[in-house]
Amino acid sequence: MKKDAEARLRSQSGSALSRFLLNPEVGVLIPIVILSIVTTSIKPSFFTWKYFSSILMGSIFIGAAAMGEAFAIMSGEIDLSVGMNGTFSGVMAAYACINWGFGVVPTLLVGLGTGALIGAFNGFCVTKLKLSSWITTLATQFICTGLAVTVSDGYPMSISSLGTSGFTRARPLGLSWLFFIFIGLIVVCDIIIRKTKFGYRLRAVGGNQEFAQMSGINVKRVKMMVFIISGLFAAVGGLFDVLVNASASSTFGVGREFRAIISVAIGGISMAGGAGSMYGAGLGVLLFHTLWYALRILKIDTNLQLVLIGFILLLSVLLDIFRKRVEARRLIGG
Amino acid sequence: MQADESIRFSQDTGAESAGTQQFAMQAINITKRFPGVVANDNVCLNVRKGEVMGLIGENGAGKSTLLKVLNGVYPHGSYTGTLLLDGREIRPASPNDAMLLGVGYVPQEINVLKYFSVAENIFMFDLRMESTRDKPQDGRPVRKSRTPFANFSEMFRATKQLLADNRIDLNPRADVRKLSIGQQQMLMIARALAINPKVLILDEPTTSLSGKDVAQLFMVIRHLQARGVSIIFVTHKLAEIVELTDRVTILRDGKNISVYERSQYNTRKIVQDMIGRDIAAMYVKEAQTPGDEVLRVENLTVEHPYVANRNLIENVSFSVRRGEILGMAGLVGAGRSEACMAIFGMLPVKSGKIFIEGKPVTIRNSQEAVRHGIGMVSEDRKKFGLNFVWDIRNNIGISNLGAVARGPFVLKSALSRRAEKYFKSLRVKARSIDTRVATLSGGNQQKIVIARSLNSQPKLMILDEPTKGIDVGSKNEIYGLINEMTKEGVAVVMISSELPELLAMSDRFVVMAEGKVVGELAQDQATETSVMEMATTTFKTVS
Amino acid sequence: MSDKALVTRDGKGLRRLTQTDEFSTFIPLAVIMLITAAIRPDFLSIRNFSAMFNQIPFIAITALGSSMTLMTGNVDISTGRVAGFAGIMMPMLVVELGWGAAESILLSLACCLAIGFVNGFLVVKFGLPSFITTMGTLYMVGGARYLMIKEYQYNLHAVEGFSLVHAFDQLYLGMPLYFWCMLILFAIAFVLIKRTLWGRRMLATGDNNEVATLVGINSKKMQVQAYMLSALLAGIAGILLTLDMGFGLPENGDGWEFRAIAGCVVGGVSLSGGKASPLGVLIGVTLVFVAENAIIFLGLPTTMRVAVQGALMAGAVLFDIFRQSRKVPE
Repeated sequence: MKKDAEARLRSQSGSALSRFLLNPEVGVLIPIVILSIVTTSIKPSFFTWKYFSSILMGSIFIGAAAMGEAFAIMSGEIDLSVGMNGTFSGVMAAYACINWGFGVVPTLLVGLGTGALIGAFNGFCVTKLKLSSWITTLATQFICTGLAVTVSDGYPMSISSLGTSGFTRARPLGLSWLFFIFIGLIVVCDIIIRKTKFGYRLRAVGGNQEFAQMSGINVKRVKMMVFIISGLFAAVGGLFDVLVNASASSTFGVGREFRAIISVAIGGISMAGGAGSMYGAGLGVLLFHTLWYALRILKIDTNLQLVLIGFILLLSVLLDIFRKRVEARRLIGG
Repeated sequence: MQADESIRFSQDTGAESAGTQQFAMQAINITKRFPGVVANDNVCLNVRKGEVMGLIGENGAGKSTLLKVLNGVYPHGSYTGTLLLDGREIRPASPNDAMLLGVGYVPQEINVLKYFSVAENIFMFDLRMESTRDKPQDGRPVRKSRTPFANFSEMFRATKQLLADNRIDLNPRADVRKLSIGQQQMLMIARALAINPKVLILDEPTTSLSGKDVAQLFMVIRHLQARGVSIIFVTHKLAEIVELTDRVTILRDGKNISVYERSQYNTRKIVQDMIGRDIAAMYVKEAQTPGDEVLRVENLTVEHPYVANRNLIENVSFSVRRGEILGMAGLVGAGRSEACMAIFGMLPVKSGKIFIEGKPVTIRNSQEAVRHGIGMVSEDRKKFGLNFVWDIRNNIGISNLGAVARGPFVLKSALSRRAEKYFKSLRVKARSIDTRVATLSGGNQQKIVIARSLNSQPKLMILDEPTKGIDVGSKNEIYGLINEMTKEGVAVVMISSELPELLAMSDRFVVMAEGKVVGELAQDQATETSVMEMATTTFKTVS
Repeated sequence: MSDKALVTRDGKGLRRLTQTDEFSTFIPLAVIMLITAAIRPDFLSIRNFSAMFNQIPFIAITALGSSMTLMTGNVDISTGRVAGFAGIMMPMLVVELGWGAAESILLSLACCLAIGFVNGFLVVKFGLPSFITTMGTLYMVGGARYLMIKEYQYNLHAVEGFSLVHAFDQLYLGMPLYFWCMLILFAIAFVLIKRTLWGRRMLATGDNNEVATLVGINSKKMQVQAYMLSALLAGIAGILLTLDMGFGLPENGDGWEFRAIAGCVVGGVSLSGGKASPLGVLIGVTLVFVAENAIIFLGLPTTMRVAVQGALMAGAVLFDIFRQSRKVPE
């Protein structure tokens, strides 16, 4: 009896440490730190502000898309249109600026509106027509690609007439304003997910859809909102591109949806839905970019990065499965 | 030792004249345990050659466990006891193994390959059409791979033959997804017959059939019987037992209760054997004076989701008042859960009216149901009841975020206070509200589910099998909770398959069968026998 | 087409033909062609058609592989990268190591089978979501194909005595060699799926796993085999493209996976498994190309090609859902 109690006590103290290590944010932070230390020990110039700031600033584009993807995956769906939806939204914004002579704010609103509209279309297909989310968003990805190329006619569309270059080139605290906007968005997302009624409902839907229904949650409405939010963040990513480059092009966001999904997965958001943290997703993006830059400075073939990324993705989903299995075993044992 | 007991049992049941060799199938002293439960406790089943053996018992009597032992879902070794087929011991390791050994099984749910032809469905286990002709070894047919190609012409021929031999009216070339439900059921029987089974197990085969199809099914069964095939026919319905079977075995609480020959059939006696449980004095019902009507349902009809021209429930009407417990009695599949799901907005209502406190309302989804003051505890705790990713706090709090929010923001302290309130008043045994619900016992999980529904402050509480799968102590606490609800003026609709519990708790009863309300009983009219006789009514005319 | 092949139908001759799933894919194909031809007669010109058929075979072979995984209820999005991988590994072996045609092709395809096995193993053994798993291998294979090459492209024409590549320069009965390869592969697949025990069991696995287990089918093995075949066929498509062009480029095959899946879906392959026909896939892929081509002929901008593909795919799935939601008679 006493032995039993002791063992239980030990397993509890052990679980405090393992809980810390299994914490999604910590789980992502550790590889980032290790990667940085290793890279720095080989190439000390990696540990400079110049490098660090470029890693941070480079992560905002995929980062914005990853935020939208995180909403979708947490609700138990997937959004494959976050890349091309952003591209098309950027192109539409530039189109409005060039052809209709819109100012800064209306131009950005056109971009965001386009993203939200396409998100709403995804939501409509998934909730009303009962299409599966991956085939729906794959179709919208194709449609957005076609529309973006058609509207831009394959050429970059300059928005220099807006005069935003001063804003984007400014380097407050050595970083760009856009980066701070991005950080602000992560904080807002985190608050939405953890603190608002909508966030609770979203996590309930992702954790167990039937449970959510029994709790009086309108699952369809939540999913509709999720796809609209995802579309908005896709547009934010696209507009970041447009602002930084002072032009829109149909080639900007190609393949971004995959990188967003990978960032979210390695950021510890459960692919089964219902659990995860926005900061984790943000750190996932950071890990993605640190790896990219580390390999570049080490002059290792950038293609090795692709292999490593695929490997890390598989590892993180496997880890998620094992974490659940270990927990389940512990529950049965206790 | 075990064999001795089995012989004694068979002698007890009036089969002394029949030696072991005359039994097509024998299950001897089957004991199957699950953590905390003995699902089958020394159960015996003896089926003679060419007879239709009825197997009857209430929900949870141990029928499905026994069937899973017989057809290999629970492999040999996971239970104790012996299976004999034609006097020889068999040790099925999987359903496929049992099938090849000669135990045909037709599951309750429709289970077919929908993109294949009838013939391929029947002979998918050997599309080459060879094994049945080879000599069996150790009871199992030998498979030889002479050709990788399916022999379609031979298959169509054999199917045609098989269907004709068994008087089953199907076209071998027909596309399965174009068949009706009744035809699909026939297809499953034909599939089981393709291996020339010595014993055919039919698990509640009439649940999904219309009256005409039932007649056709019975004709096929009688024909099989005439050809010497033994049949184990599992059902809830007394009329079918009387109509079809030669003998009946009654199970209750995982044990053998009785076996009757056809000549001894007495429906009242069978019903008594099915339900004869001790009613412990543990249900303490505190009667309340019923107040105003809270819910009235008039002619509620819900369509079947994928069968045309069929309703899950039809013209269901009842009402329940403040502080009253309405007991919904009936067998599994009678439509009780479906009626409640429809009221809670989880199933689309085809026609009919719902009144809350006298006012007609339309409920299109669960959100509207909760807004109208309805709370529901579903039968399936795992699927509907809990979010296993979450702790106790969120699982309770999610149903009423409005009460703990300021604007769009949820105040965690208010949420905790609220969850804590129910956590304490329901006496949930857990360290704190931070505990993950997955770590709780079944009884405590059920308390969390009830707490979640109570948290939305319902005027009407629907409890679908609230004590299913939980221990006796927790059951009593749940009864106490229900009493407290009625004391506070909540109207309760309670579904339970444990009749004694339902009888002890309810003020009034609605009995359902085959999707319809078959009667309403006041508390003093209701006995286990009167309720059971109503619940086993069948509308399907068998002739 | 022999009538025995259409065993799941009832009725005789023409009626039986019209009841097939392949037929319901063929109708929109015929309608699009007729309408476009009515407006722009030169749509039906041989030049236009042979231009189309120059592209179809590679996607069609990849789509055949995708249909294998789809019919067992999974999805494989790594096929495009696998095609590129095999398409660059084969010439690499020939040019760098001086291997012959046969051994370089065989080793490349063996690698594809290994990739497919890894996919299947991860999905079946650990229960990982198939989309995410194959996305992981998509990245790994996508990076690996660049890692193993020293030059950006390998020119097979420059290799002395490598006659296989010249065989691909000629036309046979007016069609290039890879077109005939495609037809042979589809014919084999048709026989395998429609006529053999293996094929019927593969379909049964995706149709109803429970029934499949009941009749003794090892459904896990079947799913792994489907992944291996999917990778193998993608590899074949990649190698055929390399042989046709005469040189390998690592980025060949990028984006094929979704065009292949689109072709499958349009060709009547059900995303929930159990329903797939090689003939349907071939018609489906052709339909995707013809529709894109027709759109251009009818005056829409060429850039809308991809959008048409997306709309077609969504429409096809919707049609499938609509068909499945019809109620069973009592």
